[in-house]
Amino acid sequence: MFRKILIANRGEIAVRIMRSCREMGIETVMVYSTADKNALHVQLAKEAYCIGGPAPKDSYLNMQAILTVALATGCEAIHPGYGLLSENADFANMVEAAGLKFIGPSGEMIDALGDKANARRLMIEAGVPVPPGSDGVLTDLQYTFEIADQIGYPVLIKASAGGGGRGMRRVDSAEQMPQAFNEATLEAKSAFGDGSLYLEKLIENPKHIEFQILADQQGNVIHLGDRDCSWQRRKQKIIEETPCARLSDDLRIKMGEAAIRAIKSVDYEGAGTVEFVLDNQQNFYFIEVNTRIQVEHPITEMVTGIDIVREQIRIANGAGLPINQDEMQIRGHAIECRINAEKPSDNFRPSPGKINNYIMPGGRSVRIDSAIYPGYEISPFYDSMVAKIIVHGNNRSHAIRRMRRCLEELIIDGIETNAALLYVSLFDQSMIRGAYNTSTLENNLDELLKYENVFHFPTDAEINVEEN
Amino acid sequence: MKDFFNIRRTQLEQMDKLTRLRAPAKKKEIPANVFTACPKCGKSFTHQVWDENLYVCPECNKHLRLGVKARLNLIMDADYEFIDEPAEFRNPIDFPGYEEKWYKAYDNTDADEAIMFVKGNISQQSCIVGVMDTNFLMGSLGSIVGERIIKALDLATRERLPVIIFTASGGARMQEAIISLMQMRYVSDAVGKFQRAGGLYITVMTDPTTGGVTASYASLGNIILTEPGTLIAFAGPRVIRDTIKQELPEGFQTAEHLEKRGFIDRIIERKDMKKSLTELLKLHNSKQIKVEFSDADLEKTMCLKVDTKSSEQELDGLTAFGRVKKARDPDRISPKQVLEFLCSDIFELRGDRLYGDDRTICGGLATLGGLPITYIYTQKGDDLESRIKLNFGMPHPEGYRKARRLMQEAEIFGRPILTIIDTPGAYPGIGSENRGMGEALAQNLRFMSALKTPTIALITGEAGSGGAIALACTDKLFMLENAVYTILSPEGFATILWKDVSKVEEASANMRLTAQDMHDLKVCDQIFPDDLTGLREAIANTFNRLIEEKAN
Repeated sequence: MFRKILIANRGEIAVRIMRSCREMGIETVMVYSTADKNALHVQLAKEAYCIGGPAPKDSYLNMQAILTVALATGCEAIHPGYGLLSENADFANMVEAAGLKFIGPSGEMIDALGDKANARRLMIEAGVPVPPGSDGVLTDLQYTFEIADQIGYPVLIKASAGGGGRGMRRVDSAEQMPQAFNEATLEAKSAFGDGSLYLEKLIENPKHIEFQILADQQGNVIHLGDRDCSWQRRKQKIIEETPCARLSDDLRIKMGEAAIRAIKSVDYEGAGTVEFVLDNQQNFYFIEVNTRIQVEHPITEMVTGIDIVREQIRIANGAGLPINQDEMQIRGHAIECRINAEKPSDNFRPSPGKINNYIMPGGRSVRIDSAIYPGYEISPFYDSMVAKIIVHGNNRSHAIRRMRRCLEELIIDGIETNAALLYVSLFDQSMIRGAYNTSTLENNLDELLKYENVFHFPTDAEINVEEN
Repeated sequence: MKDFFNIRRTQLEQMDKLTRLRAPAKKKEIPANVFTACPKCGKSFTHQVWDENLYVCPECNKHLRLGVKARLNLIMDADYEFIDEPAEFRNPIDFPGYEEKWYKAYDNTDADEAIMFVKGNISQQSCIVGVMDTNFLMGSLGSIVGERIIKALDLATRERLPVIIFTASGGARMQEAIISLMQMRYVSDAVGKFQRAGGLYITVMTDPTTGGVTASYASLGNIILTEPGTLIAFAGPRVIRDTIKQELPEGFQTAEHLEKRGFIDRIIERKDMKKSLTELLKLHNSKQIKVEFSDADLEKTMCLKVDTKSSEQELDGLTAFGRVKKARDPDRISPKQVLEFLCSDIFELRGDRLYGDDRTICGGLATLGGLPITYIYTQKGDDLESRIKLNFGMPHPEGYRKARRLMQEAEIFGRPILTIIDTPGAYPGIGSENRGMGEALAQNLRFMSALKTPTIALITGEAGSGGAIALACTDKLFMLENAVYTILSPEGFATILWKDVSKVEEASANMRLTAQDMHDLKVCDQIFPDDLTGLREAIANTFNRLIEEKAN
């Protein structure tokens, strides 16, 4: 087993990876930017090194600096976490070339799956359903028009190298196409350094269903069940749950098998997520494979009892899967809420600032993954998530009630958060029934924001206004 | 700091209003018969807890008032019978509204008047017991109450049974006005007749005992017991406030206060009441006529701090003043230890019923070889604190008056009296002079000398002057070998005679004060070694002989 691992990330995921390492007896090295000097992942670390300025490109994306630290401190592997360098094939290759282990699939694999157009082709070969669309990248606008006409509007044009909604445009008619095509190309180029696009039929109002996968170096692949991540705003997941309330057993088995086929179509290693959309006719289509640990992985850990980060490290070290597919059991129901530093009533304006104090929920089957502490200053340079609250329940309604209870207990003073919106979301009829899709939150937002105001924890400024 | 929790609580209340699917829970009253709060400390307990604790607050030891049946069930063996004639309403002065009130009480309590009498047993000892119920017109002394007491005492006289009354009353019954006042003299007269006929009359004052009841039969018990915290008064706090506009100090008129003032024999916890009454009845009901030590009595030994060296080798050579010093030795065996060596079933009784309870003289009932006796002893205390409290063994007048009161009782019930003495003398001071020390001593000398019941005094240490002889006018006087008996302290003697306290040794030698001197002067009848060898047998034989002599 590795003796020392460098964690090339920050915030809650860096802390979360460190926790598993500590439990496994593995030493860790943290890296940080000048803006993160006081961050929890640095404060908790035995060893931490500053690798550059606040902007990610100067520090957390600074491959050479990270690799230098890893080598100088005697690390044997690098865990990239999520985001940042986690799906960067160049980095994975560079790590391997330096004689260290990149915890995740190989650079080649990341490339093969990261190139969405290529992935689409691989899936078609493996017999995994994909949405109707282009066979590969869109060579030019003319070709794009042809394909779009063929499958019918609305369509999506997507960055081939993309993810997280960047470089993606919805196109409802031929007239919108040229502008959308140009914007998406530019956005993809700036975000991923690669402007190539592909096109798919837009599946309207689908559910976003994903399957957690574990694959070992020996070629064994299992899935750890599905996750319903459809409670989204502008493609950003906010509430995730497992298992999905609206999948029949047959469909779940079919989708699970498709997910495994998708992974087996390439020589995959480690943890990954196969994402599908599910339309209202119960047709599912492959979207993409995320070749990394995901933000919402704890809900799967809650229902399976498997520590996914631990398995990532074991697999990277050559160990086999902890269980086979038949032994995989889903117990109860788990939900995650992402608490973000933002003000929903003010168009989700980011709200960085100092955490004066907070009260985290506790009690049975409640998990908090967070990297805040009283006095900690949330930096504007990085993403706005401040905490993940994960609960487990005997069944779905039990879990929802537990999550409501947790959000009732939660108080974060000093910054604005979306906690009240999350809380009122848990009373939304479509949420209660599980019959929501990726558009539901946005469609219901005005209504929810009315109630959000009741439960919104006031800032000092708001209290002072009331008192004056 | 921001009031997080209150902000959140308010928000949650509003949120709950919006999200609640079910109707809000309705407020419920605590069912009347589930919890009862203690009237003193306010703590609530379930009925089961009250029941298990005999209606004594587990928190503050408040003894709640009890109804007739509850009280009887705590005290009596099963199968007691009510002996009263059924109560029939009467309105002696045609007081308006009385009938309505009386019937309301009659219907709403388990009593048919403010007192009810039963005949039955307490631990197999037959007796008549009366219990008052404050739920019945505040337990007031109406004419039916008076009649019932008189009839019960009458029956007890005929059947030679002891009478115990649990008093609880607001006093006279206003609706019967002067007729109620008359009951006070009628019942007091009846109590007197019963006592003169040799009856044992015990009162247990329970909360509250006030007014005309305190001023008649409640205060006339041969023995007066009470429960902790009981309000006992003639004029209750409200009456005093309304009449003379005086606020009473905290704790005034409680059982504890009255015990200090000498009006109560003992405060007994409710849980111990049956046991105490059983002991008292046994002590008054013994069939035994002489002292007979059982094997168990004889086995009873005690750890005496006997200085064997001095008792064997130095004694003969000890000077008189040496003996005085030995008699005063703080480590010397105390009268209390001697009593505990000799007697069993010790039940202390307190108070002179006049002014106070002097703890320097203790007394009460005990058995000596199975025979009930009255004991009196003096105490000096065994550490500095208790010595100061006990006035270094020098009694006040109320101590002597308590002794006389107890000896009076002994004479009535024919109990032998044993006094055990170790005192430098009666306390010389302003208070004791004001309260008539001389008179108290004189009364004792006259009274004790005329006692018909057998009496023995034992001097264990010092016996100083009038304060000693006022407890020692007995048929027989015993002394321990290193005890001394003096007209006054050798120091005082030296001062008076030679105006020189340093001549105390010379004084001691000339005064003739040792046990041997007393024997030679025929003051003392018998001398015992300090380790009490032979004492028990001698006391038994002496009492038995005296009993026999006096019987003839």
